[in-house]
Amino acid sequence: MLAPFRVLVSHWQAIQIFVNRDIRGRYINSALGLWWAVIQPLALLALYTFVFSGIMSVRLNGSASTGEFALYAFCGLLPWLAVADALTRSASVLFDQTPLIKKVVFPSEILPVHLVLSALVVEIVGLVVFLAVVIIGGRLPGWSLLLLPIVIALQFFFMTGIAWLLSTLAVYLRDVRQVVGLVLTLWMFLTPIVYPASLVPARFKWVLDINPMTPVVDAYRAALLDDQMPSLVSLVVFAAVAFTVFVSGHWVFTRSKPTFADLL
Amino acid sequence: MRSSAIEVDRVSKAYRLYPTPRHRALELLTFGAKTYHTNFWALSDVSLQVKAGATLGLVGNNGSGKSTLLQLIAGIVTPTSGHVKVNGRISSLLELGAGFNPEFTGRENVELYGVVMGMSREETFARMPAIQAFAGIGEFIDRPVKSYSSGMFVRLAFSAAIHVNPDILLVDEALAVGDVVFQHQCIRRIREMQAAGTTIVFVSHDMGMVRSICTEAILLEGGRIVAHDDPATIANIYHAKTAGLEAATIAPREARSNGDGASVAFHAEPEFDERVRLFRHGTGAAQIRSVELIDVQGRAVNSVEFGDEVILRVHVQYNEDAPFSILGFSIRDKTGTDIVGTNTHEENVPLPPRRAGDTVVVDFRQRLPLANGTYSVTTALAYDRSKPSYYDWVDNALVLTVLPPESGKIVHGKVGLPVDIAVHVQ
Repeated sequence: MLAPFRVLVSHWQAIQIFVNRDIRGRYINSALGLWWAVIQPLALLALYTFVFSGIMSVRLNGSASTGEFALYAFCGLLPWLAVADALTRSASVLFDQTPLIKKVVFPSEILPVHLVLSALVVEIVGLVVFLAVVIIGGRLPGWSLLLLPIVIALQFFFMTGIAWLLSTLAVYLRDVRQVVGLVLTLWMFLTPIVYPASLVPARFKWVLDINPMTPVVDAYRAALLDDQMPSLVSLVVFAAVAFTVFVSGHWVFTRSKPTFADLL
Repeated sequence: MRSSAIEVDRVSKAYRLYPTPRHRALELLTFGAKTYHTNFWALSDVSLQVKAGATLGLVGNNGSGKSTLLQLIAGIVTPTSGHVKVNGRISSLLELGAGFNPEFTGRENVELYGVVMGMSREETFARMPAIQAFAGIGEFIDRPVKSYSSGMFVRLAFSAAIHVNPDILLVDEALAVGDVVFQHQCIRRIREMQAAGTTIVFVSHDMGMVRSICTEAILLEGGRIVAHDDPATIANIYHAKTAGLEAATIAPREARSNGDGASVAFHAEPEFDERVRLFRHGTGAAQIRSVELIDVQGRAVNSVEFGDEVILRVHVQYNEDAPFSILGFSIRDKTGTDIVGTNTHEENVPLPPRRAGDTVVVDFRQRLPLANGTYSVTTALAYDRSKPSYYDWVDNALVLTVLPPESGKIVHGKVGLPVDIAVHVQ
């Protein structure tokens, strides 16, 4: 049970270097470099405001301002983009690092981990940008913001577990790489990100209820926009799901690891 | 110190081969209820022990299982059956610069490599000056690896790998790269590591290297150990095998004592025709039917020590009448450069006129003071001295290896000619 946590501790230096390298690798040859981590969420936010408010004039129920919906959507997108980024890449990470797996004695379990951390770091930069925009807009975040780090930590365990599962599966079945993109698109539309949960008809409500990303997205909004305590019950359920996925993902990965060098 | 650093106990390794990826998926989805794979046995029942501080050479043709064995010892690949036990920290040089990212600087890549190899960041930093000095790439250490020449890449990767200070070093042909100066530098470093008690397992096709570095050697063939002996013996067996001859253990051929031509009998080798089929051209009115290399004791060999006297014997058969013919040979190095060669016309030893069905056997006896390495022999039979016109021209008629002098003297350049040195102390 503790083995997956031990991975994080004993290989922490290597994970750090990999994360560092991955983040710099994202922007390394661009003229603006790391500024892109800030520019991208800003541009995206501007784009959403333009599309949802300027063109579509979507209003959130009870809200007078049309600008509100852009913030609402962006808030949901922050955690989602991190999930999508890490999971998409996890399906190919072992292939990308084949030389390390086939030619070096190497703790390959850290490869999916570093993708998740890298995605989360990018997300956190986006979060800071978002907060800055909200504060400049005249709204001060409340105490519920302090719960967000816990949500992000749970998100890490959840994402890492799935990343371990996907990267393992992709080695045996290369088609996984094609399927992941499709499933993630579907998953995004089954999560209340670009639409409010209230719009979903009652008979489809159960889909949101079993979707583990729903409480995550809700918690972000509660903390960032509504200054409410996120629903503790759903967070506890998400925590249970996250740790289960984390532990079982690690189990599957380490069980299959000895065959990776043969199959890649 | 523990007595054995590596113990390989009856290890076999099978790879599953599937006709298509779909078959792999089918087998996976039915949980192996139906099998679609065939097993390829890369290694079968291999057992060996390497004592701490020993240097073991792994020798064999491509596909004989050398690299798989190295991967098994490294713990990268798990055996299908049997056990591998290793005492100590391993550094594997199976591929130089594995995991190096071209976008990052040399320094950053070395840092990652160190941590990947199980060192702490601090340890890696502490070794950085030594790694830099050994690689000798100067300020390039802080430039992206993609801007490196391939030589610089190899230098840095090798330098990083050997500064991990392993108890056991696994090397897979990595020394075959880089320029001569760097190769010598690497060999010196390997000797230092040997002196410090590092156990080394070393894969190489270069028998000179195996002989000079290893304390013992193994010959692998088709995934099995066929011989485990001292390096010189293994090198000889390997040479014999590659040439398809059991030369190392062959009995002296009394009947064909060298010297006077009377006791030299013509013989044709069908295997020779088969082997050189793609390397020959000419009218075919006369043909070279066999080429051999014979040492002064009259034994067929395919490796000679630097400066040894040997006989290159060429068997020729005439299919048509030939009043005039010239037989010549040329010895070429790996790059195809002609190193030495001559012919019967140049040397004023004319071949007698021959009739259809006649044969002739010509011995070229000489010393071969060549740098160690592999050489190929081209032989040709011409019929007109004024323009190139050949009955038969055969490239790769013979492959021979020149071993370094037993004295340990290093041959600079391609040929070592006798030299007298006079020192006049003033």
